[in-house]
Amino acid sequence: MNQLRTEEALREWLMDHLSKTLKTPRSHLDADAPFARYGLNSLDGVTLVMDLEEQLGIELPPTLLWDYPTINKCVAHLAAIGSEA
Amino acid sequence: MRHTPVDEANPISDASARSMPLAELAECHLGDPLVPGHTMSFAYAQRIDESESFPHEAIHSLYQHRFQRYFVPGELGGSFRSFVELGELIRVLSRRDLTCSVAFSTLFWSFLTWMEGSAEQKRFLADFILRREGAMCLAYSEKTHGSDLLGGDTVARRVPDGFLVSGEKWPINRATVSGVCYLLATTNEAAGPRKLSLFMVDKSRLDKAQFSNLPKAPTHGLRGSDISGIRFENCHVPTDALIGHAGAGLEIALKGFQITRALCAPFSLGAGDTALRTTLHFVSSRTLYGERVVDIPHCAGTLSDAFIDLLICDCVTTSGLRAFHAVPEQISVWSAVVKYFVPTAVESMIQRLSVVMGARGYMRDEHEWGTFQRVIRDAPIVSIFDGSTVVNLHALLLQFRQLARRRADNADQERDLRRIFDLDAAVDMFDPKRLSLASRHGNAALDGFGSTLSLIKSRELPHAVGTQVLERIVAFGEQLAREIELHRVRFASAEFENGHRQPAEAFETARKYCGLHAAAACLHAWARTGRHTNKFFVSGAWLPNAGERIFEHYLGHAEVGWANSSFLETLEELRRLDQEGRMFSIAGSPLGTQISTMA
Repeated sequence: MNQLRTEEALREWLMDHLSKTLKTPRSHLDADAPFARYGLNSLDGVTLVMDLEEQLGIELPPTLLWDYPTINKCVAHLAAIGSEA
Repeated sequence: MRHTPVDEANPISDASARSMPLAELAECHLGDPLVPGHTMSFAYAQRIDESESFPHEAIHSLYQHRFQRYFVPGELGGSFRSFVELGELIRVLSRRDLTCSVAFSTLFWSFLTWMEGSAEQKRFLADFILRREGAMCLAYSEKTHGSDLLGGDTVARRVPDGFLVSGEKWPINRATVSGVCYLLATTNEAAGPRKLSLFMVDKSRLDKAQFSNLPKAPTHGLRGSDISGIRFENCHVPTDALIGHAGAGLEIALKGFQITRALCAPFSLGAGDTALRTTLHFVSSRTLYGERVVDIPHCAGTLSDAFIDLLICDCVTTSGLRAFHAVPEQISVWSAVVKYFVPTAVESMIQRLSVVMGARGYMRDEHEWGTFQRVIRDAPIVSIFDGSTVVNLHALLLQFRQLARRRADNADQERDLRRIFDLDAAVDMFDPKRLSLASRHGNAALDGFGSTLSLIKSRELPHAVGTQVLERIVAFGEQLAREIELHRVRFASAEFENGHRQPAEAFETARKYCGLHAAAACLHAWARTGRHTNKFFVSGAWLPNAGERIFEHYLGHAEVGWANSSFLETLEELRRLDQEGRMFSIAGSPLGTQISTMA
């Protein structure tokens, strides 16, 4: 997760990933809106965490997006983990 | 093998429990269901079905035999050792009567407490089950929300000394005839997947004016069951009823389902055994056109196929239950496969048998107390409750991309395969903390298939096998390996599809995946189980036909090159098992034969 250590880099990457995954233009994504707004249900959230793990090379709780349910909350948490690592 | 009668007043002792497999011990205690006059007989099952009355006497007798102890961990005074053993008990009960088995087995919801409960909650529940004939219900579903748990309207509002619960849960098995209610309710509407909390509610501590039961719902099958509901109206529930922390409800519920969904398969295996056995008895004693019906090729083929279907389902179930002890991290996959595959396969098998049964299979008071028509009504509920077929296929297809990309490393995988598929090997202690909502380590049954195929091809098997049979099995294995690889390649680069609006074809793909898993489970179990006493199973003679059935019904291959068209060997084995009084299963364990004196 070296190259994604800063919050900004993480946010950029997550916005790109979600944009591709959800087939939604980046401009339509609101970093403070709950993931549920984009049609992601609870199990989709678990699936996305598995994608995140693969990209970041770290193990995350499968319920990560349940506890940090917006892009900004998720990014802030991941950055905090990254700075501790 | 014949068992000597067991004294009704003398419940299972520790000594006898240790010396005999639980399936055999339970059979010994419960007697022959074909002999009327006791509560685990087909005659009694017919009576409660016809009267649509809850089987109180039968359930009481199961507690008298202390079967409840197998649901409670050893450190809490129970005798739970493995899910394999618990599954065997459920199969033994289910072959007698699904109504009774399903009612008694709501005890498996106790794993919610064993997994996530506090020490005090565990002590309470163990005492409730072991010493007070305690039973529980699972109050998740709501009339207008079905499997959409997060859509539920039941709320639990925090007050200084607990929660005030309002809402209605329906349809709930044993909602009325139970002392404990596992209740899922919203504690924070704004928290998305964290909105729900799980409560273990001791109904005896509630104010009776604050909750009530909804009437029993008349049903097509399981007619003696207490399928009813429960309504809470500003009902005070104490703080110590909360399991885990507020907001953990959905996560605990999903992990609980991983356990109970796999444990549903033995309901179907028991029902399937009885459907096949009562059909075999019917056609063996019936003569048409100057010939015994059992010898007419169509009938013989149908029975033989049904037996092979049961062996396939046994491989899937038994390895799936063993997987809890070997690869709990992968259970989100295994449990969904087992819950989809086994109940639906057994339902189809019973439907095919109904052709052989003809009019007798439609009558409620003919041939062995109308058992066939009861089973054909009762069995289909198993694929509906506790996570329906669609729910399980959906849970699988969401994981496909990651399953195609991730797998355990080879050394771990070989160890895991031995632990899962050597059906004679002891299992490790189950560690619920290792359950996960999604598998990070793939699915050993598919990822490790190449390793087992190599074993087969190199003939490094723990048992002898004829050359012709082996050639067919290798051909089956090689085609399966190609199909597994095709699936993996397809999903390794697949795109994410979100939400519950997955295309219909995706569910068909998930169904195929279950077929791949089932075929692999059969080959793994056969290749890695050696010391088994069942010569027919280890001979492998059934495997090419098992492969043919799976490829035809799940993978869309009308014809395969390896099938053995002869069913005589399989039919002969089926008749031998029945004549010797043995289960139609891999283990072929002895059935109860004594005349019980239970009321």
